[in-house]
Amino acid sequence: MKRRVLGPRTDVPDIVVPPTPKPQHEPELECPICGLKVLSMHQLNRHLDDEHANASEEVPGTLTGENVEDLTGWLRKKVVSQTSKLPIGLPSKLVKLDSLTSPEYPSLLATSPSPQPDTRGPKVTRKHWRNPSGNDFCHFPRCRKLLNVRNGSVNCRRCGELFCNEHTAFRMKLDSLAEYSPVDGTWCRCCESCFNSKPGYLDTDGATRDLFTQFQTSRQRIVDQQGLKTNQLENRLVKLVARFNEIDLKDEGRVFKFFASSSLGQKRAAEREVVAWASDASATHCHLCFKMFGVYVRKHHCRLCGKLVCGDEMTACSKEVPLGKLCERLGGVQARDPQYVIRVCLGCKDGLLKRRNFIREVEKSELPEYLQIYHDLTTYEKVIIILLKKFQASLVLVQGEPLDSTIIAANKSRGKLVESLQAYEKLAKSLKVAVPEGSDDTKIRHSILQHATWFFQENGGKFKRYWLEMAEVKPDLPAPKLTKKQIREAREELMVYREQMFLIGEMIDTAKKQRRFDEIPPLLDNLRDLEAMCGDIEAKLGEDGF
Amino acid sequence: MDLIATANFYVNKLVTSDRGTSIKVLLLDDHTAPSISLCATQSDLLKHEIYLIDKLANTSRAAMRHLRCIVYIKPEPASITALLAELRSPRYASYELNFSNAVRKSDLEKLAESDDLEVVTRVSEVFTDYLVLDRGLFVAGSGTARADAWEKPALDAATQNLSALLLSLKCKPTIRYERNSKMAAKLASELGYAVHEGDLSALFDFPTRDVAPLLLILDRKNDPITPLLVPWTFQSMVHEFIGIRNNTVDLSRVPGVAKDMEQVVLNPETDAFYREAMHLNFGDLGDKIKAYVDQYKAKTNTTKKLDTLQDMKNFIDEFPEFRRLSGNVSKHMTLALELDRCINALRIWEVSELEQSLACNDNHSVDLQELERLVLNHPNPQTPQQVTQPLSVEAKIRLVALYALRYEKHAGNQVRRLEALLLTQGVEGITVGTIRAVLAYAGASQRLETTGEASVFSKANAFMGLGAKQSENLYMQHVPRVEAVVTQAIRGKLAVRDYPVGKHSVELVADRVQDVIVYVVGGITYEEARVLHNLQGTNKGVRIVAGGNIVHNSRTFMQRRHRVKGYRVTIVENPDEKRL
Repeated sequence: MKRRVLGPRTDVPDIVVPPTPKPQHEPELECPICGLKVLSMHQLNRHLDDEHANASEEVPGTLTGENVEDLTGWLRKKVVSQTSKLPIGLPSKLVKLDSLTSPEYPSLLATSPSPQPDTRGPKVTRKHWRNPSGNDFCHFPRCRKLLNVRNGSVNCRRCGELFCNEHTAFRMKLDSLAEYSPVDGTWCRCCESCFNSKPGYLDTDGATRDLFTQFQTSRQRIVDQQGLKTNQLENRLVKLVARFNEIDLKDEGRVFKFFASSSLGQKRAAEREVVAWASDASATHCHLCFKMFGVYVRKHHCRLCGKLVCGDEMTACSKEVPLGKLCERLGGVQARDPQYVIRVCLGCKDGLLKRRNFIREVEKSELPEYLQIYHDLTTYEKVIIILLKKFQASLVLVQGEPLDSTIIAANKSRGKLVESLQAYEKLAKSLKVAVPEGSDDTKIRHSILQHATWFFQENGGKFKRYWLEMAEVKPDLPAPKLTKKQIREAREELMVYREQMFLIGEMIDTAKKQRRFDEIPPLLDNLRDLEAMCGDIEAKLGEDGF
Repeated sequence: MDLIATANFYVNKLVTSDRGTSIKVLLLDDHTAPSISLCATQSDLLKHEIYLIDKLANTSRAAMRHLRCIVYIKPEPASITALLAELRSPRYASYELNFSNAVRKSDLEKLAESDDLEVVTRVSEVFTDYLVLDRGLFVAGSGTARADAWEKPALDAATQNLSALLLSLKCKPTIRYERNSKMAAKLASELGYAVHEGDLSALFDFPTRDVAPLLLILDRKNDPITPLLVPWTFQSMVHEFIGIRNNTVDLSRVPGVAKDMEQVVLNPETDAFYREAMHLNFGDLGDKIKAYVDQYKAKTNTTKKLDTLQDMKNFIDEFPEFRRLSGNVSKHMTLALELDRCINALRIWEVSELEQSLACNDNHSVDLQELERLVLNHPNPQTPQQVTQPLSVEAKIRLVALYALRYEKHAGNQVRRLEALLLTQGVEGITVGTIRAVLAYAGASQRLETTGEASVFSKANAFMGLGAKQSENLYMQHVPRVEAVVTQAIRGKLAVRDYPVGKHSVELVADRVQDVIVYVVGGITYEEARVLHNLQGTNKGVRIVAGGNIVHNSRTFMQRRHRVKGYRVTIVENPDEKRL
């Protein structure tokens, strides 16, 4: 489709036009494609350009020249038929002139009705458009096609840059300032990057909802209630202990201990004082396990809440607990007679001690061995990563100017690195302890080991690569005369290579077992090389070897 | 609209703790375990310091008071109950609760009440309550007992899963459904309610887009052909002949398979070769695999020469990758060989040719002749001396079912005679009944005959200029109906009469849509997913995500028809009854 060239038209007939009377009927044209009502030919023309310019791309396959011809022919026919429907009274010349009406040269037909505002949205500004220079390339980075009649030359309505037809096959709604306006914008042609820049368009973060505040409010209510209950129980217990202590103190003051039974009686009375006991008739069932009381299921009173419970060992609805134990857990109170037992129901026990027990366990329980190892491992990991960076930096220095000082520095950091890597490996290996298979502990140990292996492989590999790089640059890097330190380092190196040999040996074995014979020859070659390396180092060490 | 990226975002969110670093435990339930294993590997989780993964329902877990715990469950009654018990007597120091869908208020209250030790440090909802198989393919909803109506649990599951999907994609869509499907209509109205008036409606307050995304609810019964045809692309073939379940393939029944190949994972995200090859047809796949093997060989050859330190260094660096490559090569080789074996053993070349002819051409007498020949195990007239093994019963039933669907209204329809032939072949009456079950499910009277697209049989597509690539491959002439429907949707030309807008839905704007979510009630196929993937590729600025409650192959489709409504064909009717 031949595109209309923008800008002042040169072929405007140079005639003085008499003021045209306003047409009696609004000339109504209809877009032949989407049926949109427009007022003037100019508007229809622009509408076709804006909305249906890429109509050809919607049809699979490309239109041949013939098809384009057909399309334009069809359009023309449609337009002519529409024009013929115009009010008969209007001179055809005027109709033609009307089609030229445009805001760019309003003086031409000053009295003709100016185009009605587009009912479908605001008119999008074109001020920012890049003017075609005649030798433009598609602005899309990977396209750079020459823009011409065949490839098309289209301004992205938003950014204004020039693109070929293919790279403006996108639509978005723009407002009058050519900014994205999803609600009341006008559909406009745009380029891919503008299309993708629509806010939220490329988002991959889904919706989430945080319910913690709501959860916390509900929980606070329960926690507060629980706190009150715990407080009450604590008070009762403290009171009870105080009463008992009083009685015991009196008891100890006596010379004769025969009246112990009387103090027992006093204690029983004190128990009833602290909390009112429920009457025996008030309950027929245990309030915790709902068992019916009877000859075998005896009624008991909880000394802290006074309710009736059974004393079944199985359900543990209530138990006789030594005072000393309770006081120890509670802290702050001391019973004179720690052996004395009181009956406490499960509810009161939980109310009194559950929270304390939990906190105590979380805070005071010892770290298991693997956790300790894990913490150490993570520390080493951090150190190794720092050392690797340092080592690399020192290598860069050596490569830049192989002075003695830089070489020594590099050797030093290499030594440190080897040390930490070895320590890391040793630590990781200590995780392999015979613990019953399948337990959670073993699973965690296994996972940590897996993580450690992965880390060791990655960073050990990096280290080796750096080291080999350095060796290539300066093959005589290890100084000819061996200091003690260098001997140690050479030994370490030897150990690393032997380790490597061992690993490769294992790989060969597994490959054999799994019948992957194609993997074996390269491994064998590698092994040979390592042997050679080891030989070299051993030769260098000479008598200083193992 | 990238499901994998969205899933990764969620996984990251739930494993990243707000409270420093330490070893963590991850507790899952039966719903979240498969969904997380589809998008995160164990090493991914290890990187986030998750060193122990277990089921919440497992009560034999040891108490470990120094570990912190991340709970990730679907908020359904069984899991909530287990969580309540866990919170009442906590095994770990602290808990971060993540739910894969919206939690009911009452459940949240109960949870809060049971957390009197204040161990919970986070409660959040991440909307991951569906399975992500690929960037554009998901599975949502469960199967139903009936094929024409929802039961409450199935409808709830579908609604919940789909609303989670919409939330995770941040879509407030226009919902449209197929006019003739009661199930699609019901689902559309339920979803519309959930989006606009339900408890979650506040969350759907996403910024307006210039054109609202479209959720298109289709019904399987409108295209019974696609699942019945033998597919010819890699992914679909693996599913058809071996079976893919949550991106895992069970090869243990394949003859002569290596021990470490019994369970293989086919995940396009982690397997670059698979991503490239999954949509290739069998011929191209052969070339692709050959190139892959050559590449592998080239690698092994270079590693064989380890003359210099440099070579050795490279070798050490590349060895893990090398091994991964070798594993992957043998995986795909195994799969391709097995596919090849199946094609020959099941005589797929012959079967598929007839199937495509049935589906795409209008040639009753020729089709019938060929069908009879296959049903009766007669030799091919062109190669009469060639001895072929008899066709499997499954294939015969499938062919007759296709014939029955295709020529249901044809004057010379001979389904009854073919059924009788099958019976004489010793096929059980109940198996032959599957053909009737398929007809009852998706016969002409059940299907949506729209004015625009004439038929599921792609002959009609040729009229619409959609079957342009038809002649390209004899075995892939048929184009699934979904392509035509979605193409119309993209162009804004989907007839409102046939695809009404659901109640409570965003108002329909007659415009070209840019984001389309397709949900097929009754199951999708990999073939359709492939077609939609291609459609997305050819239409710029269009994003398509598709899913169903199951990914069908022909076997699961037939079984389902049979199970939903069983027929038994017993009486051998007069074979010539309908010949007049």
